[in-house]
Amino acid sequence: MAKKSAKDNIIRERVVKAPKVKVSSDARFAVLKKVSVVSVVLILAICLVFNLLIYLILDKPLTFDTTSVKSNTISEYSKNLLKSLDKKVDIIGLVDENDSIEWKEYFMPLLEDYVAKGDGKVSVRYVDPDTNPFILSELDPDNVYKFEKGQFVFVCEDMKVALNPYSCFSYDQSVYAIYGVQLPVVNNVEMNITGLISYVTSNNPLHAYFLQGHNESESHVYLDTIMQSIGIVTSDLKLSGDSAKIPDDCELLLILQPMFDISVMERELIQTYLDNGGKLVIVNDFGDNQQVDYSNLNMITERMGVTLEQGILHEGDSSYLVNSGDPYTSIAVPSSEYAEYIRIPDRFSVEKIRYMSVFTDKSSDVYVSPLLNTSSLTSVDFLQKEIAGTATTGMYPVVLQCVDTSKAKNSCMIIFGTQDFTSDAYYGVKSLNDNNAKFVRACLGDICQIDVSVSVPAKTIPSFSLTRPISSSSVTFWSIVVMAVIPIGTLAAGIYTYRKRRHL
Amino acid sequence: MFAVFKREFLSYFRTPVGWVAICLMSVISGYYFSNMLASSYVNIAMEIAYLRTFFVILIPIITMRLFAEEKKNGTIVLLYTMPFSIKEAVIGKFLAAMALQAIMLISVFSHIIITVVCSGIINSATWGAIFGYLALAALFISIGMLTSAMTENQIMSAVVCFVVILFIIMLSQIADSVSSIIQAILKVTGLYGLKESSIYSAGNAVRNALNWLDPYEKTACYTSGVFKIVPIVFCLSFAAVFMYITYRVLEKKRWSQS
Amino acid sequence: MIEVSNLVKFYGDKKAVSGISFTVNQGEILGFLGPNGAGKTTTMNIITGFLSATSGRITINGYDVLEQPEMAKKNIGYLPEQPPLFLDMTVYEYLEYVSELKKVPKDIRKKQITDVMKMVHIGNVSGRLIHNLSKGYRQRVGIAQTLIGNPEVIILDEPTVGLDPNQVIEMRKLICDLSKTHTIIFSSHILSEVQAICDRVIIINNGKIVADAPTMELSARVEGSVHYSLTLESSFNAVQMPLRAVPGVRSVTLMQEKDGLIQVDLMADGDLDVRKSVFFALARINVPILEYRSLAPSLEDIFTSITSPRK
Repeated sequence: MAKKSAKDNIIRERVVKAPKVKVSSDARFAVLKKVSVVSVVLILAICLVFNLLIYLILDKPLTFDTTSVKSNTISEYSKNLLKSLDKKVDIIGLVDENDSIEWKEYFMPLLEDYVAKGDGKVSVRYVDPDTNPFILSELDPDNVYKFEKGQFVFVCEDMKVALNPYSCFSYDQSVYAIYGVQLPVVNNVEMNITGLISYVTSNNPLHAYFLQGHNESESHVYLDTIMQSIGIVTSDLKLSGDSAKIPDDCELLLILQPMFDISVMERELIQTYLDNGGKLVIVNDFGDNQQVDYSNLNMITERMGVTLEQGILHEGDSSYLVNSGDPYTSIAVPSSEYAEYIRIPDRFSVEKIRYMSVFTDKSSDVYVSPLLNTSSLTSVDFLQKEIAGTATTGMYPVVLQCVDTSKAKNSCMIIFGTQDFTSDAYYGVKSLNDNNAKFVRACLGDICQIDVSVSVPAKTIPSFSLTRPISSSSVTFWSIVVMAVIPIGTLAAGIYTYRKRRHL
Repeated sequence: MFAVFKREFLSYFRTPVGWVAICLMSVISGYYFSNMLASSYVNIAMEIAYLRTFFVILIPIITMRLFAEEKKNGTIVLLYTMPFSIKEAVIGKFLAAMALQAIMLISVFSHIIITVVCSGIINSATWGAIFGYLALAALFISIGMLTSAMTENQIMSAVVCFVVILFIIMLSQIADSVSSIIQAILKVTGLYGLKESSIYSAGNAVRNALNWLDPYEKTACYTSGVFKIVPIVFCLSFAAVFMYITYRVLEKKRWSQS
Repeated sequence: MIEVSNLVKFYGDKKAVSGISFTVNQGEILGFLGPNGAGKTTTMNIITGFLSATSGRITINGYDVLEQPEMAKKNIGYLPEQPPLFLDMTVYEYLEYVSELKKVPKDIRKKQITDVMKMVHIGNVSGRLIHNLSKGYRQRVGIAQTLIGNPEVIILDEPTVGLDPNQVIEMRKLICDLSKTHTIIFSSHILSEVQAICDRVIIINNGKIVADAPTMELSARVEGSVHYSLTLESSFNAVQMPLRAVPGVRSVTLMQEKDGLIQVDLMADGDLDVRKSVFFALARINVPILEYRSLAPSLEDIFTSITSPRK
């Protein structure tokens, strides 16, 4: 140790000199503060700018659709449609983009994909009419479309059409029956959007009219979707009053399940329409309407060689039954010639099929061909027992196509003896991926001469329902595990360690 | 850095904090899961999205002590006087909190196993949701760490952190109100003589800007099976910024005058 | 070696340290003496890098604390007044953590911890929770912490505060032992403690160095004015003159008078031992001494005596 010698006993006293510059906060402090504050602000700004750039440039390329059915990616069909577009489509969501809405996750990413692959031809924006009320008058100055909040509006030049997001799904009816919750199981969003894009951009869209005024099925949302997807525009039509007429642009007239007969005037209008080469679709099963006398309607169908009888088809082949013991819900199969032509080898589930008799002595200008048939063991149950026996066991038609070639223009009619190809009730359960949807699409495409060979598939929504039903006892067991055993176990382990350590 | 990580991480389990956090998390998630199980409809991604709401409680619990306690006990001196940078301490503590957050997901993993056992569906959305969850957790932990570094008082730190996270979670609602307030003010005062439509677009611009900053909504997309890189980058880069600010706040002690 | 030059630290407008400069050589034990609030802790905090100075420069073994903090800090072990202990860790865990922080190589970590624990006599509590240790043990764990990494310089801030007398003695002994291998700076506000341990003392007051001298010299200087308290059975007038006449006595002051007893404060030069002469002087006038007590100098006395011009 460096000890000082004892002789050196001078105490070194230090007179502290005051710093030359007397300041309370000196330069170094100021510099440090400046460096600190500036660096924080700078880094924050850099981070913001960096993120903004990343967001603008890389957000879309770095978005991946991990769903198994690619529900956020558009299909080849839609891509090809976008490629062939020669007009711009503007899609306006009349919603607040930031609200949490059930359907959001199925729409927004998909629409982004349309924009990304649309090569500038598709634009999407969201305008909330609550905060931006001008949008409604801007889109619809004459208030003819009556757009409302929650819809998507597709605009291309003068063509405008609205889409209700909720109609783009099929819901699980069994869940609805039990829990009262609409659980979507199939997602037809792309089908709808692509259909509407092709509709608003088509130069001459085909118009189809649904006859109203006879308690027909009021809603035909799914059928609309199917028709829109092949480029057919639908509207409702009432033929009452003196000036009533079928519009000139009517490419197809549909009569869905009228609950009472049409009037004489309607009959005449439809007759004239058919004589001028019109196309008619009639849907009439044998359910709640079994007592109805369809004389006027029959006068139309009879000109095409078919009568709607008051009887229901009774399936006798048990292998054709959907539910054993219910002879009125069965399988229909394409007739041999039709299967060849339309290439739909599938089986279709149908119920309450009305017996339709085909004239044997019809005019030679009229061709009637069954599209779908029952098995050859089918009989007819008549409403009035006394006429039983007029029809024997055999094969009966479920869907008929009739063509009248006697006039200058051929007229054409398709009769469905069941509602299961057109009704919302059916598709609400089975979804638009069902075979029946494919069939009705093909049929309508055929009658309107539209190519329907490719289409957008409906996408199943991953069902998070357990595939095997779980018993209530195992629910209780697992609930106890996750809510009691695990937390209490953790807590016990914690208390144990804590106590053990505390006494160390 | 590893030393600090190790100490902080083990410290969660030496004190009741870590155990309580895991227990709390497993009770909350367990409640949601058993409800799903009872309805035979099990979507783990939704459970994770739901759990994100509880960041508002869980993050303050696990971050409040990180620096506040050391400041109070004087042990922070070690971090300043040891031959290493305080940055390493910040990173170490951040990683420790992240590790605890990941361990808290154990209850979710147990639910995934139960779901598989009960023949439920685990899909890409589930894993995506976990990613989004952790990215958001990183951001919130860095915020909690900053509030902890700013005070000696743990409760104070927790309260501030709670308020900030609540603010972020409610940002989209706040954005709505802010934009309508701006619109109302512009309308009533007639300032700048703007047209009504431009008033609306002004309000909307403000709202969009605020919404763009919302990490909570940004990370919601994973639940629907959309995997985006950008929100993760957003969360992690801002986490890094908050860690840097934490470092600067701690560094301030050296030169500040008070 | 520590070199401190012109250290200034402001807290707001208040100057805590104003222009301190000193050098500590290798192997020295330096006592840092000063009343509370004199700036001891601030100075130590600055040396260890916990605070940074407003101005001034500090080098430790040639490394500037500001410019090369990691190298500089490697050479320092610091025990602040409040030992930086994690109460939720055991002694061993704690020391292990510190050695990880100090980047002690993994292979010698364990051995070093064991050695350090042996050195400060805490081997018997290595597995116990710091929370459950007595104040004396905690202080020793604090010192053990400074020794990890084998730094050359150990800085202890008031290491004996709050310890009971036995523990204080042990602590002093420990510091003496450490001084054989380390350079030590330690602060105290108790003069005798510094005298007992240090080679050299720096006295600071109000942020300034008042004195910087080897302990022996300082002792002499302090003893330059010694106070005694005498209780006599007499009157003040009777004893005043005879006492003043004793060589070396500088002043005589009456402190108290009660029941025919007086208490007198007697200040004398430290160079001469006046006790014997005082006894005989009083004996000559037949004044019995009932109590004869030498007063330890207060820090204030030291400051006044040091700063007063030398006789």
